[in-house]
Amino acid sequence: MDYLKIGIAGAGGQGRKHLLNCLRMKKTKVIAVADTSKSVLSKISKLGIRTYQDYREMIENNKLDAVIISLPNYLHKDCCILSSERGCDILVEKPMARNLKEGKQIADHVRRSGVNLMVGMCHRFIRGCQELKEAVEKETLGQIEFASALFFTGPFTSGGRRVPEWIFDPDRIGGGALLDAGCHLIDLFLWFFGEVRSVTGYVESNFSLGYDDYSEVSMRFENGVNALAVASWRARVPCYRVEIVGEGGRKVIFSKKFGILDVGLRKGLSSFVKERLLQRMRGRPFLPLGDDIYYEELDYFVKCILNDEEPKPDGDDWLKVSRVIDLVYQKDELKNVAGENTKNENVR
Amino acid sequence: MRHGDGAMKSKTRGLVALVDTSKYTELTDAVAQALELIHFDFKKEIKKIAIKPNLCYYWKSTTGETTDPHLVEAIIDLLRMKCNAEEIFVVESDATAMKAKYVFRALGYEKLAARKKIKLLNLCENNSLSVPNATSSISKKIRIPKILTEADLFISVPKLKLHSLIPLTCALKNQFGCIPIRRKVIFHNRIHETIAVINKLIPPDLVVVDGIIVSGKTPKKLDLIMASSDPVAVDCVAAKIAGLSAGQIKYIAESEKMGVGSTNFQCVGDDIQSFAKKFPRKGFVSRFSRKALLKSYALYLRFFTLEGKIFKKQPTLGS
Repeated sequence: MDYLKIGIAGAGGQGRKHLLNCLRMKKTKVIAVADTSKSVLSKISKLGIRTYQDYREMIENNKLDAVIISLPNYLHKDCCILSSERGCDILVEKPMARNLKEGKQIADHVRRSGVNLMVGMCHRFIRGCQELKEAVEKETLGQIEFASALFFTGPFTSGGRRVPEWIFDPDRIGGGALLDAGCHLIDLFLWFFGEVRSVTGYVESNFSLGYDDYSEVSMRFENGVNALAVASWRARVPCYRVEIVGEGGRKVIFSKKFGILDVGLRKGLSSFVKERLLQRMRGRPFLPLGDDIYYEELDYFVKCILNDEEPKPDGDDWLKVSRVIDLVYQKDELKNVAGENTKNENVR
Repeated sequence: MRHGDGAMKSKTRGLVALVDTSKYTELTDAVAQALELIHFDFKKEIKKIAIKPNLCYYWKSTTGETTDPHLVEAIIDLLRMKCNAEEIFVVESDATAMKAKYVFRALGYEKLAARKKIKLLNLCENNSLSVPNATSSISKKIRIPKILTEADLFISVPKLKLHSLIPLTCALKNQFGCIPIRRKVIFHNRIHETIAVINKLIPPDLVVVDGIIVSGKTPKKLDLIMASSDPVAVDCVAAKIAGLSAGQIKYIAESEKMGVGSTNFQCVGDDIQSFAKKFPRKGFVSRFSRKALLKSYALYLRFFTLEGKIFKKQPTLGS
C-alpha cells in the first residue's frame, strides 16, 4: 500500500484541519468527506473530493482504508462501529466516547474487527510535552514527585467562533471542561507516569448548561507521583501550562496568550520563523499557528497504518482516561444537580 | 406615548450621572442615586418595559464583556418600586456567532427571569416591523423589533468596553444588537452608519451603563454606573473615561448629526477623572502591534496556507 485512501466524517473546525493536512501529505488521498453543511461541502467538492451529507453513505459507498472521525461526540460510537465493520482503520477525535460504558462498547467492537483505532490526543505531539516525557523516562529531573497541568480553553474562548447546537445539549456532548479539555491532561499524566492508584475530583457548573465548566482532578500514581489537572471553559483568554517537579529540578511548558498555539512561540517571532524554515527544510509544509501538532498526529497515524504498526493512544488508552473522568463525574449525580455546584470525591 | 417623549427628555438631555458603586452596599441604591442625579422620573402609567443588556457572547460579566445580571436585577427591583409595570422583558437578538436562548442560560438570565418573574425575549424570533429609512443609504427599509416600538419604557443597559472593530462599545453600539437579524456581520463594513440609524429608529428612553467590571487592555473592576437619557452624551463620557476622544469615534458624530443626542454633556455625581485614571487603557503600541500581528497573520494564512486558499479562513485571536 503506497498511500491511504481516507474518508473524513465531519468537516467542522477539526475535520477541516485533518482534511487540509491530508492534502498536504503525499501518503494520503482523501476520497470522500461527509458533513451536514452544504456550503462547506461545496468548497470541498471543488477539490475533486466526493462529498456526502451522511457519514454512513460515505463509508458504505467508498472503499476506504481509514476513516477520520471528527463528528460531534454523540455520533462517535455509531461511526466507529460502522467503520470497523467495513474494515477501515480509525482516527477518532477525542473524546472517543461520552462515557466509560460507550467507550467499552467501541473498544470491544474495534478489537473484534481487528482494525486499528487511534484517539486524537494531540497534546502528545506538542514538542514541549514530548520533552517532558523524555525527562521523565531519562530521569533527568531525578525521581518525579509532583506534576501539575492547567488548560483553560473551550468552545466559548475564541469570540468569533459559532458554537454548534449540540454543545449545549448535556446528553449529546456527554460532559464539559473535564471531558473536553481535562482528558488531554489526564492522558498526558497517564502517558508520563503509568498506572493511576487513586483519583479525587471536583467539578463546577457556573454556566448552568447542565454539565461542568470547571474541573480539578487530583491523581496519585502507582510510582508515587502526585498530579493535579485543572481544566476550565470559563477563561476569556486560553491558557496552557504543564509542569513536572522532580528531586533534581523542575520543567515547565506554558503559553502566554494563545493557549497551546504559542507553546512553541514563547521564544519570540524570530524563533517562530526559524522553526517554520527548519520545518520546510525537513519537507514539512507551511502550517498555520498551532496546527503542527495535528499534522504530526496524522503523520504518525498514517505511518503506523502503512507500516502495519498499532498506533497509540488506542481505545484501551482512552478507557484509562475515561475511567478517571467517570470517577470524577459520577454522571447521575451531576445531572441531578445540573446548574449547581457539585463535589465528588472518589478513591479507587 | 413613549416615556422619553416630551419636555422632560429635553430638560435632562446631555446630563450624565456617574456613580461609584463601591460606596453602596446595594446596587439598587446606586442605580436609584444615578437616576435621581439625572432627574429621571418614572411615569406611573408605564405598563410594558423592555431592557436590553449587552450579551454579545458566552462570556461572563466578570470578563468585562457582557452586562452583569445583578445590575439588570437591581434595575428591575427599582422599576417594581417606582412604577406598576405589568410586563418586563429582557431582550437580546441572536448574533453571527451567538444564540440568545443559550446566552440567556449561560450568563444567568434564565435564573434571573424565574426569580423576578420577567420574560426573556429573542428579538430574532419575535415580530418585527419594516420601517422606511430616509436618513441613510444603507437600505431603503430596515427591520426593527416590534416589542421595542410598543414598550412604554425602553432601557438600554450596555457594557463599557473597548472594541477591536470600532474603538468603543457603550450605549450607541448596544442598540446594534437590537437588529433582529442573526448575521449582523453583513453590516460591519458600514457599522458606524448602521449604529446611528438604528439609534435614530429605536432610541432608548434611559441608558444605565454597566461599568462595574470593564474590558480594556485587561478586565478591571471600575465600580462605575452611568445613567442618562441621552446615548450620545453617555458615549462621549465613556470615550473620555477610556482615554479616547469622541471625535475618533465616527458613529458618535453620525448619531449627533441624525439628532439622536448631543455631544455637549454635563457630568453629575462622582468625579470622571477618578474612573478615567483606573480604566485599563490600551497603549498605542499594544493597539498597533495587535493590528499588525493580525494583518500579517491574515497575509500568512492567505498566501501560505490551504486554510486561506480553500476555506478563506480569517485569523481570530479573540476580540
